[in-house]
Amino acid sequence: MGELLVGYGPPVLAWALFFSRRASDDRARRCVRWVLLGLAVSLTALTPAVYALVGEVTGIGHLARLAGHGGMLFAAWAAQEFLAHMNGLGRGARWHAWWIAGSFAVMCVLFALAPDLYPQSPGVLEYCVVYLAGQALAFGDVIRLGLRYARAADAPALRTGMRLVVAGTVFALLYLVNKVVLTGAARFGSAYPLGDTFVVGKGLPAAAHVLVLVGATLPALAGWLHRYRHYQHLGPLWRALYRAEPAIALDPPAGPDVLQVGGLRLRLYRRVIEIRDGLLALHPYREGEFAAAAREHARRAGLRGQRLEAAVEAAAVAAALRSRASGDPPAAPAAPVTGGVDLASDTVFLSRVARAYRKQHATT
Amino acid sequence: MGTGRRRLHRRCAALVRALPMPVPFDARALCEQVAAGRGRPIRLVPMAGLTGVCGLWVSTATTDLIFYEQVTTPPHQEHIILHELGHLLCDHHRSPDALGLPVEQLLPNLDPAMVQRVLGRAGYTSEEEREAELLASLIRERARSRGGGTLTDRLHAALEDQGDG
Repeated sequence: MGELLVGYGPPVLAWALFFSRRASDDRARRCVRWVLLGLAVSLTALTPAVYALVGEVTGIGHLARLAGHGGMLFAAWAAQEFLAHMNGLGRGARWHAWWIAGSFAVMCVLFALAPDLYPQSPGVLEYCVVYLAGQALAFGDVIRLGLRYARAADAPALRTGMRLVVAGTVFALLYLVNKVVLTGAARFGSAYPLGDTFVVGKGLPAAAHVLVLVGATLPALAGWLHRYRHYQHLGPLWRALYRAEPAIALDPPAGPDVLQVGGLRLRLYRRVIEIRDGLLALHPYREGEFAAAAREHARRAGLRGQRLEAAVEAAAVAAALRSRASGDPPAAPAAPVTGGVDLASDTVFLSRVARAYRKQHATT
Repeated sequence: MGTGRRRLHRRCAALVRALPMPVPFDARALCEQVAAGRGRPIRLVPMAGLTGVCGLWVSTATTDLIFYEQVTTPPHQEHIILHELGHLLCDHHRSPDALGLPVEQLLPNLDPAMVQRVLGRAGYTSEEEREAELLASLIRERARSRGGGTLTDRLHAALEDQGDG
């Protein structure tokens, strides 16, 4: 069971993550997809079933290994391109690409010349050295810049994600060095039992892949959860405003909020804008005196800062909705507008208002 | 998504892809770039208490004027500007009388004879309003996915873009 999980778990994860990312015309996002594709191809080629199938179909016993290593080199190149883009350069250095392509060409020649893939066989040590050299530069850059990005990251998920990618890359580098030492020891007749153990031979690369895959995906997962949470929180306030002013909705409600899991970026943006449209329509029904009383009430309840502002806004919205429903004439109040200065902070503020609104209505 | 909505979405997405996208994104900078491309100035005019609409695009012989509601938050103002810019980009056409709003009361300083077309932002019952609103939303979505000017903005934009939303 353990071997099955180690062998097939990472490729399944890699393909799932690759297909979960949509194609994009943005180069950085394309590079992330290419890294995932390279890893997925590499991991799939090295699964026992595919390995055997490729050998059987082509008649070349270990061809899948060469294909898998090609996938890894492609992932290393894509990672370097990604880093170049992050550093404000349009593309990576051309010689990086030539270095990796050249390494693969030499590996192909060595693969063709080697009689078999036993560690002590001629050409296998050289193959492992070239394979390590082809990726070492890219891996070094990922480790160095990944740590720098983690330090600069402003969000825990991004910081943790970067650190996981760095840890996975260190593991991968250790695995490659281990392969070189293992084949070197076999060639020169030295004993190196550690290199052949399950933990180092299978566990280390599997862990490396999983860490890189999870690390590269963590920011996306955290972003999705953030959007989903805010979308749910905004629901009660949006529905209250929609009932009063159906014209705010670009599209009618699309079923229960809890089931809205796709296209959340646009859905959340629409919800924020439509709430703001609803609040603007309610503006003539606001009462400055009521807001002052609500502020005093919230202060007495121990609320401070943004929580206090959100509670006051929720009470003012509820009062304006009542005033409008009871047919009061619109006025021109000088009520100030509270909220965020940009989309992110306004989303957080409205989310707080919506929670306060729901809480106030649950207790009345 | 219905066929009509899908078609509208595709049309708007194609328009957005062809637009220049200031980095970091700023609706006012986008207006300047669009104005430079068209060779016609776009003037952004904040107004408090626009009645019945929260934004207006008024086209005269020489200038495009975008009026936007002042009594709301900056991101909402930005969206209203993008909605009106959407009308302009889609080349929507409506005579001042067809708006059904007293333009001379809304904009008392503007000579009605100068106004060639007027489009507001109030509800989405017409195809033109839906198109301008969706276009504004997609511009903002694209701007977010392109990221800002800092390293962390670029990292977020590249790594957070997950197909499921």
